Amino acid sequence: MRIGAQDTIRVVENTPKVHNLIVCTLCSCYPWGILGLPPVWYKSGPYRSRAVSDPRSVLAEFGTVLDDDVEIRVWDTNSEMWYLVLPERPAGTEGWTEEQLMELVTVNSMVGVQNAKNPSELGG
Amino acid sequence: MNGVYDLGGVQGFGPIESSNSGEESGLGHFHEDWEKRILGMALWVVGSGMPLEYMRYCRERQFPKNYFDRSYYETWLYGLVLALIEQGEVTAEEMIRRGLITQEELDMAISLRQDALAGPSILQAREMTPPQFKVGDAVRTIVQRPSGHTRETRYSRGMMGVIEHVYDGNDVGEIEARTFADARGTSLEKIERPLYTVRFRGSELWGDFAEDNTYVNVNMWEDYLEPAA
Repeated sequence: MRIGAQDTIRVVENTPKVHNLIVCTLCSCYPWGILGLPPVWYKSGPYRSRAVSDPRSVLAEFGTVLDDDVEIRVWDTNSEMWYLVLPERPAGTEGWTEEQLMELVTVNSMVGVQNAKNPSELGG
Repeated sequence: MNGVYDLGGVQGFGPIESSNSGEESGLGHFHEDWEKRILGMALWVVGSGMPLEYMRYCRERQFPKNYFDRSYYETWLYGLVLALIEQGEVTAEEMIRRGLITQEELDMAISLRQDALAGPSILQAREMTPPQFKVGDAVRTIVQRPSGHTRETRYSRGMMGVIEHVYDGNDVGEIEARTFADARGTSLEKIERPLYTVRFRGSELWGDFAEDNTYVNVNMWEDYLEPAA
């Protein structure tokens, strides 16, 4: 993060066969400019230590269970190049407007610990 | 430095408090009001020219017990105090008298950096050179035990990986990202060096203990890399 300059962010896309996960094992680097301050769990020992060694079980702790044939890519933010996950577009959203889709995208889905919400998860 | 803050792969922390985003406190991501002032002060100090990398190196130079005892913003306060002492903006005497740092921890932090400044540098060149590697090249990361600031995580040292990306763009962000953190953080020198993302198989890093079909991507300056044999 450069104060007074733009954050430099690389967006990594989730697909049915590739799931991305962001961490900063050394401190708490995070794409502040877009996501705001990082969650407390992101800055803490349990996540920082295990995201790079046990990403599947870390994801499971967030309720995200992936098949073994889904490749997990963990991005350790150890330089002034931040990452943002582009979550997979949920099924059943064909024809949705940007405003409608925004309701499904959570901070957790852009860090990669969870997928975007399904339409059925919206309140109401 | 080989400090305890380098947590990748460490065991024993217990479960992730996945519901603890920090928003429940009603203060946003803060537990107490004073934390906002620390964030503001630190951002101002960085914005007025203190390198972010050096601020990290200041936060890193704690006694291990203190690193785990201090809360997130207590660590930021500690790093701020050390930086201001080290850069001559405040006196050690005043900070010690106010209980913001002890003589022992200050002595450790200062001597660590002095050792780093007096010791060998891992820099392969003192200026930017054309990238040696291209996407797909096999590389091995260097083994080192620096006293200075480094962003080569311990879990990724001495490992075989593949170049996944070369950061050779010329927009401001990419040029800034190439600033070599080890130099900027330790001696405050701004030296641009080639930067890459290196992709490691989970099994390379953790052997038989890796989960299936997992990869870890870590950014590496060229100074951390050698061609794979």
